[in-house]
Amino acid sequence: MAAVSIEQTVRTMLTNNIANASIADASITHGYRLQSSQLPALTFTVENQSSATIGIQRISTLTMNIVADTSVAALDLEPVVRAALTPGSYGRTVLAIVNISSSLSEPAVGVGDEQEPAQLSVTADIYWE
Amino acid sequence: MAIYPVHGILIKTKVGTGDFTTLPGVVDGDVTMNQETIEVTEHSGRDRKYVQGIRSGTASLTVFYDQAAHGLFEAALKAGSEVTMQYTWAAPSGNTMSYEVACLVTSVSNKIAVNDVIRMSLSLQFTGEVSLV
Repeated sequence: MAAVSIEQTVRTMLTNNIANASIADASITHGYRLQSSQLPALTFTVENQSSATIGIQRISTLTMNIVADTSVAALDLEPVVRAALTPGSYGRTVLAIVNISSSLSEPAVGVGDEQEPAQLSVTADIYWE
Repeated sequence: MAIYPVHGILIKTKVGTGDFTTLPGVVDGDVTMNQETIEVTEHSGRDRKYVQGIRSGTASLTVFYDQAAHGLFEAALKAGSEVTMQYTWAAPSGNTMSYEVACLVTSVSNKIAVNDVIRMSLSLQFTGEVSLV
């Protein structure tokens, strides 16, 4: 059986630790979300799988985007997402998550003057094996 | 000749007569063997001559600090007891070469910084002959 990818591990961590009532499991996706999908949503990417030790431990950069109808809704979900970043065994073992930072992007005005969703970006360094 | 990737190196430790166990979480390190020399140049000589003097060695390591795995160094420093270290270079061919030596722990330093994980720096002084296994 092939080893579980770090992307699958991160998704398991997020779906295990975020209640459906906050962000539905189906709305936690790798890399993109369908435009018509339910909000709030959470997309994530994992970059730079480089070695952290001479052994099997690695470090990656985890970037998550909380997509919500309003800035307030996105901000309300930030502590939920931060709390979900908990070390543990999710297929791969997440050893530590540090250097967590966040940045809010206000809802942009679309071509037809409609309000587009607000996005709050959360980044972190993740140690795993 | 062979070129060995650092990724293949195993650093093992044991305390007393226990078994060697692989030290996890090693970020970097170095192992140095020194050979002192004694000058024996004759008064009439035009070229300096030396003979072998005393050998010594030191090692240092940086690890991601895990008390369960690395507390043995703190305990050895407090007790003044020796830790036996084994550095193994594992070649892709399956051949290996190891340094094995008893050490005293001369320094333990935990480095902390905001937004980072805890790293422990260790300094070790060889207390006897290095065995090339």
